[in-house]
Amino acid sequence: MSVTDVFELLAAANPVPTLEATLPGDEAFLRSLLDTPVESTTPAPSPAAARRRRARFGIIGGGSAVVIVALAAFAMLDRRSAEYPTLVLCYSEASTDPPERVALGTSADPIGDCRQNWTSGVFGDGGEVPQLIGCVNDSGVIVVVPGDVTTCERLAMQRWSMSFSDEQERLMSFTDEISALFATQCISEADAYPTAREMLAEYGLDDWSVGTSGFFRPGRMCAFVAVDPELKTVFIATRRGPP
Amino acid sequence: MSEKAELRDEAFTALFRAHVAPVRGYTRTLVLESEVENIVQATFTTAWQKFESIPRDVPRAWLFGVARMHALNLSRSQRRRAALVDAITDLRPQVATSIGALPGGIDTESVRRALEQLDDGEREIIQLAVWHEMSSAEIGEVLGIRASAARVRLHRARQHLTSLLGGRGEVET
Repeated sequence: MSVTDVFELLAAANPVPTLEATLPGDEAFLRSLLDTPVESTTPAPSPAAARRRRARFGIIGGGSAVVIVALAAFAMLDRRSAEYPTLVLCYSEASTDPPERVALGTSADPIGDCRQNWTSGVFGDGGEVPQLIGCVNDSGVIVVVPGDVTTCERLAMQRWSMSFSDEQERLMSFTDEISALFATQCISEADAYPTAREMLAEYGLDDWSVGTSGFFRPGRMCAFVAVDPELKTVFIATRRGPP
Repeated sequence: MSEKAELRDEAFTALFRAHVAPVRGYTRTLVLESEVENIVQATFTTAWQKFESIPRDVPRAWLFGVARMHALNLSRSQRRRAALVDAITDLRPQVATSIGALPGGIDTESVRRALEQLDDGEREIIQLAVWHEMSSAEIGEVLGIRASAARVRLHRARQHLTSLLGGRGEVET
């Protein structure tokens, strides 16, 4: 078996070419139009043009989720933060400097998602999964470590409340969707900004802005995004595009 | 005839000949066959009168947008008429789900069912992108929305279609 992209599949089943046709009467109709006086009134704009006159705003960008997480982490780790629901860190040891750590993007179930690192053998030997607990570090990031209810305090962190607020859920949904959008399409840098703004507006994140990450490289044509909740900014960068 | 008028006639003739077939094809996805020629003629009549307003970079999208507007107006008036005889029906044929033959081994029926489960807006934007091979800017022109909004809507429609086909972006063949 092979796999086919669903859009490629639909394109292969395109019925439209069979619907397109010129008819014998087309030329006669064209001649009748050419004989019709043009109204002297100023042409009204098309509905599309009229709607486009509304205030313009927004852009976007996208890229691989892994890179997004890395950039978000970069933007965040060198400063203190209140809340970062868009990033989860899994530690292999109850330590502030574990030998192994994995950064996840948004997660509705941080402890369950970090547990998979143990069951898949990323941490440990793929055998028994230790008890895990969710803490919040001083940057506001959820850190899942092996341990019990005393572990977070011992690591100078607070215990995670095990729930997300509505605002955090909204931010997570936004992050997931904008990341997926940019990961699945090659959006140019120029188109990335209005697209990001469009999506911010749709999520009611009116006090957010779109900025440049500075991570631009020659020859990289597709945009990706990094969401920074502290700065309330969606950063646009570029990644390598298709050949 | 003035030179300016002659140039206008030539340019419009080129536009008409290049786009009458695609506009007819698109219109057939919007209305019943008996109404297609009315919409096509109304579209090019509008184009003739507003020729100077047609964006030179996306003329096909502009024409599709006008055809769509005429089709929506027709649909509304026909619905009103139908209501009078207590026979309200959806006048739009389901061309968008009348897909052609798929490559061997593909479950055509599951794809058709997935398309049917999309809402009209989702089907329409996928149709414009995949079957008419339109860019986000062109789709925005047809639908009267920003290109960025078209891009987001297309992404969501694709995600929905993917979920209806089993949650993957790919179909086993």
